[in-house]
Amino acid sequence: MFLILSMPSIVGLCTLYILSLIACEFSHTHAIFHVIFFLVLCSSSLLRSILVQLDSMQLTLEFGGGLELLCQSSKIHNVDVKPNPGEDKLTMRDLLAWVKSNLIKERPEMFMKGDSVRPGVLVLINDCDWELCGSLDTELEEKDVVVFISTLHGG
Amino acid sequence: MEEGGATAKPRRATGRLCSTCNQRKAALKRPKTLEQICRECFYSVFEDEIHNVIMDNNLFKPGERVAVAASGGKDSTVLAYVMSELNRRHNYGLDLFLLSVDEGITGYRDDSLETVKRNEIEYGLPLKVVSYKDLYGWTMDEIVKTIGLKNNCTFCGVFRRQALDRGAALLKADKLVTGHNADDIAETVLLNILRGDIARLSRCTFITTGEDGPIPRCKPFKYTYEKEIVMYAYFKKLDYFSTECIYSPNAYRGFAREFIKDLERMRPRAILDIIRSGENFRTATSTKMPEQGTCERCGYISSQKLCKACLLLEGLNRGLPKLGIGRARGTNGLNKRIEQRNLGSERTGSSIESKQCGTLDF
Repeated sequence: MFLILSMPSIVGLCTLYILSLIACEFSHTHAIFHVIFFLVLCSSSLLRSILVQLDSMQLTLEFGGGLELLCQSSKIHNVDVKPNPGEDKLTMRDLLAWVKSNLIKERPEMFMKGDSVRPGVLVLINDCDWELCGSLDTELEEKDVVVFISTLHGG
Repeated sequence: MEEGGATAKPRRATGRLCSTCNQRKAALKRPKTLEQICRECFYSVFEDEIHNVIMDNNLFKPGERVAVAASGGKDSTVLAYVMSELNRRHNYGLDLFLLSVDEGITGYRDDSLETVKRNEIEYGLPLKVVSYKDLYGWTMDEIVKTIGLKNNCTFCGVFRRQALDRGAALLKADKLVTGHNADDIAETVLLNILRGDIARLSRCTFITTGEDGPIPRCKPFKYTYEKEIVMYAYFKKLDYFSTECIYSPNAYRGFAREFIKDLERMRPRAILDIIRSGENFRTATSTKMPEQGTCERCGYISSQKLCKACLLLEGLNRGLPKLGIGRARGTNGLNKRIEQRNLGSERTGSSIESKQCGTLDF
């Protein structure tokens, strides 16, 4: 309970800890407080990191039709993506920007045009054409599977 | 985990139902009609439309031997699958074969041929592979070694065209079907307008070409959108090869293609409209068209003394690879005028330069 309450303000705790350090300077009798404060600090930051993990979204991204060549020839990528700071939702627009800067290693113009995919690249979210779920404004959910397929390679 | 769409999160159209059956979840938006449609209904409407195109245009007669030009790419893989499916379902009575051309490009064609070989087994269609090496004595690897990376696509395109005809002749095929889709055709219409190529403009929208020649070619996917072909392959988990040719890493950048795709995003019907416009062009009767004859060396259809393939081959063999390329000056007895006229000489040729080389040409 105490941990959860104190968790949001690591900064506050740090200040407290430092203050207590100053207060109990050289007083060995209060050493126990050091230990307690330290423990509190550790566990709260641990919890916080778990929370951050919860903030980010686990997605499976699949690249096909030649697009895999742009991301080191690997078709399937399991990724954790965080929403932009200050937002609690992750949209396809955000995801595309993230993919462009994190996964695409070469020729990004083959994948993106403006802030969307290049015309001719098909997108499916959970096996559903993204044109049916809002294209760029689609909000993603945990464990979504997003597939990108280029139609631009010959046949 | 998954809640049934309609509850607290209306954020996604997961609950949208197919506009055809009104029962299942819609899986894609059809570019042709903008309908939202489920997988099952998509399969049947996709196949039915192709069946209707085949029937309306009398593409085949019962008992015909039909070679499916197979590169291992998406279009030809879906074509082979759909053709064998429709042949069975509607009793076309066709003898189907797969016909592949091995250009001799290590690391590209050898891999895609593996895909075709898997298709051969999966769809139960006999496969015939004809190679540039056997037909012309040169592989593309060797040609590129000689001429470099400029104009190599010209060689490849011209050679492939003939190779398909010769392969089809070896198979004693009555017809050759290719996987050209609506996007390809719209692109070709635009390119032919931009080039001012009247002869090709008038025939590039024909669903069957070369009917007076030995092996007519037809395009059952003439009205089929590329998006739907790829969706079909994806949903059906068809095995296709999508690596670009190593000798033309940027060949698909073509402006026409990009333009078509941009148009499609704004208004998907645009592709069909362009095809329609192409079909409705009428060439003035006073326009002089190149006369058709046969190549005096190999007998292939040509409007010149030598067909383009023989001309290119002669250049290769004589160490003059520029022969027959672009607007190169005439050398060694072949005057400039003949060469220039040779540019547009081939009968039904109309290469799609913006697509990668591996693509079969018109």
